[in-house]
Amino acid sequence: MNRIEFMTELAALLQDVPQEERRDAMKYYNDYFDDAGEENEQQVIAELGDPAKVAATIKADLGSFTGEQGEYTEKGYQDSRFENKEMPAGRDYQEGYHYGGSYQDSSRDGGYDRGSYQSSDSQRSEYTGNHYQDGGYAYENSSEQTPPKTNHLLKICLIILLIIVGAPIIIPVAIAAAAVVFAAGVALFAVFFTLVIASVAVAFAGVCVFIAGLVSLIPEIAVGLALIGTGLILTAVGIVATVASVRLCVIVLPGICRGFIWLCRWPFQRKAVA
Amino acid sequence: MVFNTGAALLDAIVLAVVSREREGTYGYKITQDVRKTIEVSESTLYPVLRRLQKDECLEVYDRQIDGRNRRYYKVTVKGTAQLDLYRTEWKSYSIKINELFEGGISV
Repeated sequence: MNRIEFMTELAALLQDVPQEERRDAMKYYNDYFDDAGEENEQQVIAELGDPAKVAATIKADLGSFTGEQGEYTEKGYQDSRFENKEMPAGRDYQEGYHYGGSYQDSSRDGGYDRGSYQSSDSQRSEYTGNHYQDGGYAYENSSEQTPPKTNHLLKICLIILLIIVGAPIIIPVAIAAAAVVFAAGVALFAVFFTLVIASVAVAFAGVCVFIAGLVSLIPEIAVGLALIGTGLILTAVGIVATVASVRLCVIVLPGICRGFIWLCRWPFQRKAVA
Repeated sequence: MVFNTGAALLDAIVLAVVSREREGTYGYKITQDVRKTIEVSESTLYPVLRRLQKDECLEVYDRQIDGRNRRYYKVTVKGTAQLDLYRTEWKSYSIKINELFEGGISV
C-alpha cells in the first residue's frame, strides 16, 4: 500500500462523517505524510496500520456526530468499527453527564481526583493506542442498552403468552393466510406467463396462416394472398406481443417476488419499528 | 509502558508540547515530540488535537511551507489555563504517588 492508496481508502471510510471532519482529518494525514517525507512513507503507513483502524480512531472521537447511534445497538456490535464508534457515543459530552457518577468508579483511574477538571475532561477514560476494548467500553455498552432490553424482554414474554393462548386459532389462520398469499403469488405469476404463451401462440398461428396462404395461392390467388397477408400481420403482432410480454415479465416478476417477500416480512418488520 | 496514559494526561502532554512553540507547531512534529516522552501510535494524536481544538484549547492556522499549506496548532488562552490546571493537578498527584511508593517504610 502506498500513500495514495492509504489516503483514498481513508477518505472512503470517512464518507459517513461530516464533511468538515473528513476534510480536517484528510488535511492532517496529508500534512503528516508531507512532513514525514517520501523516504519515511512506508514506515508511516506501516505504523498507522490499517486505514480502517485510523478511520475508527477518528470516528471514535466524533461520537454522536454521525447521528446513527440507534443503529449500533441493534446491530450488536459485530463490526469492529462500530465497536469503536459506540464507545465514545456514551462518552459524548452531553451524554457523558448521565454516566458521570458511576463511570468514575468503573474507570481505571477512578481514585484519581478528577473533580477539579472541567467536566468535559473527566468523562474520558483510557484513550491511547488500542485500549478501546477495555472495561470502560463494556460498562458504557451495558448502561446504554439497559432500557431497550427490559422492553424487549417484556415483548418476548407477551409474544410467547400470545402464542400459547392463541395457538389453536393462530396456527390454522396463519397456514391459511400463507396459503392465500402463496396462491395469489402463483396466480399472478401464471397470468403473466399466460400472456407470454398467448403471444407466442399468436405468432405461431400467423406463421401457420402464412403457410396455408402459400399452399392455397395456386388454386385461389385471392384467398391465398389474403391468407398470406393475414399470416404476416399475425406473425408481426405475435412477435411484438411476445417481446412486450417478456419485457413486462422481466419488470413485473421481480417486483412480485419483492412484494411477496415484503408481505411475508411485514408482521415482523412492524414489530421492529414499533 | 506498564502504565496507560489516560485521556486527560494525553491532553496535558499534547498541550505541553504545543505550548513550547510560540509560533505553534504541526502534526508530525507534535507526534515526534510526544514520542520522545511516551509511546503513542501515529494515529493516536489526531483525535486528541481535534478534540483540543474543539474545546478551544488549541487554535489552528495554515502556513505556507515549501509551496504548500501546513496546518499549525497553537495553544489558546483557554488552553494555557487548562495546561496550568493540569500541571497543578499532576504535581499533587505525583507527589502523593511518590510518597506512597518511596515513603512506605516510614509509615
